[in-house]
Amino acid sequence: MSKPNDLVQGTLDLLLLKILALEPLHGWAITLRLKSISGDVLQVSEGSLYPALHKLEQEGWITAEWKQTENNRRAKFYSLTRLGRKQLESEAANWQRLSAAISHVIQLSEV
Amino acid sequence: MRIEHWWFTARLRLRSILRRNRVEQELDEELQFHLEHKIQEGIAHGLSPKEARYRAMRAMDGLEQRKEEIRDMRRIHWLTDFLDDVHYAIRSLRRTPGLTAFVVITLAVGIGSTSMCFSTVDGLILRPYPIPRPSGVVSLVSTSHDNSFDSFSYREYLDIRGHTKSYDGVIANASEGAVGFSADPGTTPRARAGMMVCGNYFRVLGVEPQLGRAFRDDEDQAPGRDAVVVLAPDLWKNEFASDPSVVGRTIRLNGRDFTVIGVAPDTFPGMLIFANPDFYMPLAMAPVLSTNPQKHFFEDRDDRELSVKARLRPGTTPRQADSELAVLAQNFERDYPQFNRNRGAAVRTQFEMLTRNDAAALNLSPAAATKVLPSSLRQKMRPL
Repeated sequence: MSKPNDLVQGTLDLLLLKILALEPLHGWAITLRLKSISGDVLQVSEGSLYPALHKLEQEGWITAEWKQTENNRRAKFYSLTRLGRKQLESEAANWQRLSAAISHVIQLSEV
Repeated sequence: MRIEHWWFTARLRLRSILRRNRVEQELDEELQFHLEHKIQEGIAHGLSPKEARYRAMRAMDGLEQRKEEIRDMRRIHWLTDFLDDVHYAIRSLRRTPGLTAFVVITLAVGIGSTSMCFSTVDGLILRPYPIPRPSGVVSLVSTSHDNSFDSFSYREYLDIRGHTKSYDGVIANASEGAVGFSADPGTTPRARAGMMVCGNYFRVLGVEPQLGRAFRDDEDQAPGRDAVVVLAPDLWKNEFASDPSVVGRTIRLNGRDFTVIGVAPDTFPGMLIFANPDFYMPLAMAPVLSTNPQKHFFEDRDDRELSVKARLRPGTTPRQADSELAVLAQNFERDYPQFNRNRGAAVRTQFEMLTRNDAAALNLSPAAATKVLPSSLRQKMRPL
């Protein structure tokens, strides 16, 4: 039995890019946002989140900036770059293709 | 696209390298920020602060491990690891100063002696004469049963010059000698190294003076007549401050006035490796300078004080020149048996002169090492 928050390999990047495409967020806010928009289905552990964020940053897809939060704390906000937007488009398209194919396969009626 | 990507990542990596501490601090702060929110969330769910903290820490799965993973993302690990290794190595070396000193000294002595050996070989053997077409210049030596690198007398030199066809020019020089030198006739003389050379010396070697002229052939014809001198570049710099008006000036050598006619070029410090002359004078000035007092330099065939060199005619091999000189040496032996009995002559290349196997030269062959060993030890080294 697999845990519900297990993410398909490689989809975390796509989710992070998508969430950051909506608005710049810090790491903590990203976990909250991911949980709420997926209706608690998708959870990302801190152990995967931060390495993934830093990897995306190194790839040049997102960029980080230190800003004040609403309750006046300094936090590292990530936002999407131009390169990241392109990456998001291609990964999203890829995902659509892949998930459509998989749904198609599993909906085949047995003969 | 590629350039934009490169620009991004290069900037980030450079920052990770140059501002390592700052980047580390920011990572700490970022994870700390997350941890605090996580704890607050736990407390909001009704956990005790202690329990909330414990759970948050567990969820973060060990902060240090996360950090290490994130550092990997920066892809500069090879560099930071290397720097850490260097620091570690330095600390370990510091813990064992005795061993470290020993190793450093061993390496230093090893590297030093090896490089000294190579630079000696380079200086002595591999470096050609500082003249144009150095390989064409060979040394002519007189050979006897106890000396296969002997010099020639003035008379013999004239005969070699007159009766050989292998060369484009035969030159001779006496060995360097101390000469009392005063730049102005009034001042106290100081000892400087002077060398007597034949009139065509510079011309045959292909050395053009940087100032004035070299000797003319007729300036070594009449004994004591032409008191002219060519300065070596170093003496010109040190004693005359590179003054170009030195040509035509009178200097005093061994109490006799000489006229400076030229300055040898900087590229030509001399034909010897270690001791180079300060000035050159014509052979004909021998009466003023020191030669063997028991002999008559210009007359005695056995007053052997001259090193003879020659420039091979193009197309002539040292072997051909050697045969020709051997015949001439037989003629000497026949015509002057009292001076030349059992005496031959040979042509030697620069390499042969530098690696000669006698006491007069630095011997670099491994065989030389056994020579300086005490005989008892040599006995032991002999195969049984």
